[in-house]
Amino acid sequence: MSIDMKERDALLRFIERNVSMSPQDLDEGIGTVYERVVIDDYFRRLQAERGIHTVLESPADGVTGVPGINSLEFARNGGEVWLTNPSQKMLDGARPVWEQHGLVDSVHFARCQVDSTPFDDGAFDLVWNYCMFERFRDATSLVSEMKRVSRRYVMIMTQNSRNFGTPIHKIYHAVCDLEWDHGYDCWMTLGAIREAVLDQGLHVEEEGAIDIPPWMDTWDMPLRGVLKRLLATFGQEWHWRTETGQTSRNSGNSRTVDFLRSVEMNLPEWFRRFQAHHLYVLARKR
Amino acid sequence: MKLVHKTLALLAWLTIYVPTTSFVIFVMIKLSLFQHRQRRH
Repeated sequence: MSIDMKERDALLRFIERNVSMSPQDLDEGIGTVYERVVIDDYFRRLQAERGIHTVLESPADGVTGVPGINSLEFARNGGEVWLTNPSQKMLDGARPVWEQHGLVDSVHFARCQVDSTPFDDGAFDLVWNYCMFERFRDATSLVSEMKRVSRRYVMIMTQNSRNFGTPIHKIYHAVCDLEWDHGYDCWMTLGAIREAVLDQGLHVEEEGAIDIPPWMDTWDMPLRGVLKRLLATFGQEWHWRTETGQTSRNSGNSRTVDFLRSVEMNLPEWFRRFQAHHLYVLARKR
Repeated sequence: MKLVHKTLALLAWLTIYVPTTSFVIFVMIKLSLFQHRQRRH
């Protein structure tokens, strides 16, 4: 079964709205910086342990943070990355981000539908996407396309409908009369992702919960501006961006982020799955 | 030892979560009111 037109249109609206809100100065806010740091840690381990050289993010995301930034870590560690998206606006927004990181030679862009990519069978070591699977009532054709173009691994990462932030964000959408454009709650669980990959005849290699900071999941709410203005009244700065290299107060290398990471790493597994902002399953072709 | 680490992590997490989340909810309410006011004008 293929994805219906209404859902394709909703996806396009969601992506283009987020791209228009993304910060030009790469100031993502502490929530996105923290998320990026823990997910990048996981990607580094994945890439090293499993010998991943070619990566396809399809469709690539452009949530509150910076468009197209999710797969940067694979390129930083020598990988070749392809990003696809039905929105040209999103791909155009992603290119300068890769240029600013000096990695534009390691990335390729393709505009296409989520379930119809222009790649050969088995073209990539890893095919993955982030918060995309849950957007479709029936994502069979998306997962099947991911499997087709993957040589070895397929990874799906979603939001977690069980954390406390979900009902509060729903109330926010209702009160502000905003369209609910985050997808279906029933697909934002490990069981649903597992079932989708098993249906395609894939073998589950890893699954887990990631990004569990001690604050509510704000989804795509742009709180950066509010905090910046508030702290500016006290003469303080609020500027967070993912950086590599030297430790600085407001970067992914700061002591605050290190502390929060150590808290996350020690949380009990049942609590991780309950309060994580994201869930993932890594599957392998048999 | 592992249980002690997990309990401490859980306590630390909850201790930070309550004030940060209260602040986020406060900002959300302010944002919603702001959007309502804008729509009325």
